[in-house]
Amino acid sequence: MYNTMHYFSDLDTIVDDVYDLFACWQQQHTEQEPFSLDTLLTAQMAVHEWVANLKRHARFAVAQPRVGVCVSPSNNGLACVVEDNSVGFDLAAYLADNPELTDIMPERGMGLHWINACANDLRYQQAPEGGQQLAFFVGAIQDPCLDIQFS
Amino acid sequence: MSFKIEPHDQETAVVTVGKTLDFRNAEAFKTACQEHVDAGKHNFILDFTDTGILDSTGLGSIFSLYRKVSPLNGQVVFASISRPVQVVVQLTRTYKVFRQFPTVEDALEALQQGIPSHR
Repeated sequence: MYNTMHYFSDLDTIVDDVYDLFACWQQQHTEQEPFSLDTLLTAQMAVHEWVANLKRHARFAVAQPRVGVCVSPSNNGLACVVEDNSVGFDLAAYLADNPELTDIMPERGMGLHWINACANDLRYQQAPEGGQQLAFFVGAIQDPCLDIQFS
Repeated sequence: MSFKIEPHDQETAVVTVGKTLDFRNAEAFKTACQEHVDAGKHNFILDFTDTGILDSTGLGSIFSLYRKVSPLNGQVVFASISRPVQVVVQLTRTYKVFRQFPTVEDALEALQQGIPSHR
């Protein structure tokens, strides 16, 4: 269901749980939706990267992690919000210190750039009820998006 | 681990990527591909028919494979690309380095005819 925050607390299964959520939306998608299937897949990709980042790197000060995912149709695209109760990190500083991918065909370190490339109006801030909130908008795919060096 | 690697001939292996190639199985993918490179394979056809997730770490493991086979005049090509993977290919512009084919059979035919890579 769109416009609803879906909560997950098991980091061992969260990647598959989020995948299943998006798979359900994909199956329900029709040409009458105000956003394309590719837009939905791009949003899924960005959310997956963020959730994977939480699973691998986030520190949770409380015993029970809690991650919420909400996707809302808006202006021919999708507004996405991922909330969590981790201690967070300085995303703006990371992107400022690493403005582009400099390695040729990098094997790691692409995830945050990947999100930044497919998302518009990316904001990482305190969630209204505490914890962290990543919010972004995915519209039509722009080409080129992610500037990977191939040689 | 959702992928499966099957030798096709002395030089070529077909990788059925399966549902996912992401941070959870990327290292296993790299290790398994290395074993086939060590066994003499230098052409790899990646079959993305059923792939729902190809994330940045998964793509990084494909870059790793490309780096291993390129000095051997080998190729990594994509076949039967699912729509989620097509979105990744567009976002990352990897169509510049990985030739794409509608089916595994088309890819095998092209490799047997010695069609060169993009680079």
